[in-house]
Amino acid sequence: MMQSSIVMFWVAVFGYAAATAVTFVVFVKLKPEWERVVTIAAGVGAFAHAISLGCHWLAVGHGPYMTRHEITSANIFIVVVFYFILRRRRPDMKGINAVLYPTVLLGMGLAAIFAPELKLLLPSMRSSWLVIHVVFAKLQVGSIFIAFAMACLVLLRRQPEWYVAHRLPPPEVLIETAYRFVFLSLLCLTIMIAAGAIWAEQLWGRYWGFDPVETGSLCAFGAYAMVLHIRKAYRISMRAAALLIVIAFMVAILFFFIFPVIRAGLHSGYFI
Amino acid sequence: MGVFSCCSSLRFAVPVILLLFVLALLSGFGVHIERLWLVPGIPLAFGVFAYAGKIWQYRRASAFFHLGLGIVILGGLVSWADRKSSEVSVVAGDTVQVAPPWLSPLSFTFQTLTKEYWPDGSLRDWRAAVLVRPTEGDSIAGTITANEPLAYQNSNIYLLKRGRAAIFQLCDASGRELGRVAFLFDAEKADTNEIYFPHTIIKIKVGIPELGSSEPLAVALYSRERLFGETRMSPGVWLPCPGGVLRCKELTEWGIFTVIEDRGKPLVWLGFAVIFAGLVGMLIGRSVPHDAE
Repeated sequence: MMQSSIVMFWVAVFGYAAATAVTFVVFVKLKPEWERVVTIAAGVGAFAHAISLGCHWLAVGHGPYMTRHEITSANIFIVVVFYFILRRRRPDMKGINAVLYPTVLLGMGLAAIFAPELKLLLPSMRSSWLVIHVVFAKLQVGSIFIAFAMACLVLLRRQPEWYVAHRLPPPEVLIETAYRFVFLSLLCLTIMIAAGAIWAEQLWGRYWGFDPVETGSLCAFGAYAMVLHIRKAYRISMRAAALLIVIAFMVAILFFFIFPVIRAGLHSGYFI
Repeated sequence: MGVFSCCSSLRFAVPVILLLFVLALLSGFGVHIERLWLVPGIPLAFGVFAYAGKIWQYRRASAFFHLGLGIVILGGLVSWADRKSSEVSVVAGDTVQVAPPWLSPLSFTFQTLTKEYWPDGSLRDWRAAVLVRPTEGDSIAGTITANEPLAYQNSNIYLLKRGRAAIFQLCDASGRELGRVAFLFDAEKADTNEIYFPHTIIKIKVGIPELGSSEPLAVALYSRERLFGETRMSPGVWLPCPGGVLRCKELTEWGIFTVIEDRGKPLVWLGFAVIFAGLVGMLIGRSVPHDAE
């Protein structure tokens, strides 16, 4: 089962790589009619990715929250699923491909750096609050990725000669949707922090311990809240609003993906 | 409520969030500023309450969310100021007297620690059976597992650390027991203790073999920091020492139990519930156009 998971993981990587490569071809106006190929390649990648995660789950007997490989891989899968849902509701958003697939491919590269391990569930990890904590962590990562992709495109639209600029809804719609995803991310992050606090209290007798990633999640909460409040309080331009989202995304990446590696703490062995 | 008041209260919110962000950032980078949280904590909580009050008229769900945040911050401050904890280290089978300042004295017995393992040898589950006897009232027998502490009066009892213990008996030349000493192992594979024999102080270093190994314990004896003997000992084996004999009595379990009372916790849980109510309201409620506020 583990072997099947690894094989399907690499099929997914090749699917996303193909989607990225073809997106690049479309992006530089060489073959605009190939957009359908992007969707097919990404669809194959996502399907293989789902099978890979399912096989891994069956092999280890628990969800993707014990090793860095499975956590990163599952996070990227959530991003792709979010994007597919968005594309189904808003077909005019296909220009997001230009930012999203390269980011997904990078994420899969990061997951591939960490070898898949068969790590069985520890006693402390058997908690329904942990499951809620992890599910909402993944949802918030997925939604901030989508918001980031949209914010990047708002910034890229300043280059009207780029093909992608014509494959997107008006920037007002784009930034409004990006803000909806930031809002969703904030809601998911709030539930993630609350569920994590309840779990920590049951396990260690304290709901907050100033762990680097705990305080990091508070930073991300502050960053998302700031993005939402500044926009309404100061009625800033679309470009500034997009820049704020990009900064909030960087803060989230720093604290959820880089901090657990460089600073020792309770979350050191994991990514969000 | 006009646009002006909405925006002005939002502008008030921005520096407050910025302060929260900077504090969290500093904590995240390892600057120990836990105590500093108290300084902005109180104005932060009341600022959030004031903001919730301002938006109550036109964004009730968001007001609930902010009200919940304020309650959580208040609960955190109560925990920071009033959280009480007391630790005790007990070897399985032993009873110790515990006197947390906020509780009447009690005797605490760590009866057994049961463990289950996965086929690869990693720990699957553990269960500690304990008995709490207060000076007045009935005894409470209970089980502590991962994620399930034992509730005792208004406090909870957690098993925070566990490991193996080697119990050694000290006897004089005639075989009379002089005392016992426990060597405790958790992540460490060796523990050192000093033993006071008549006229001699001996330092004993005991190393424990890998879990599941049938190898005996590695025992090294030092006198005045000089190694004078090394041997392997299994339970029941005697070792002659200057001034008496040392006997490895048994290999058992030990744990560090913590009794915790946190009056801020119910407030924080209440805050989470109010936040959740706000979240549900935001998701199912009608959104208010920005210009209408």
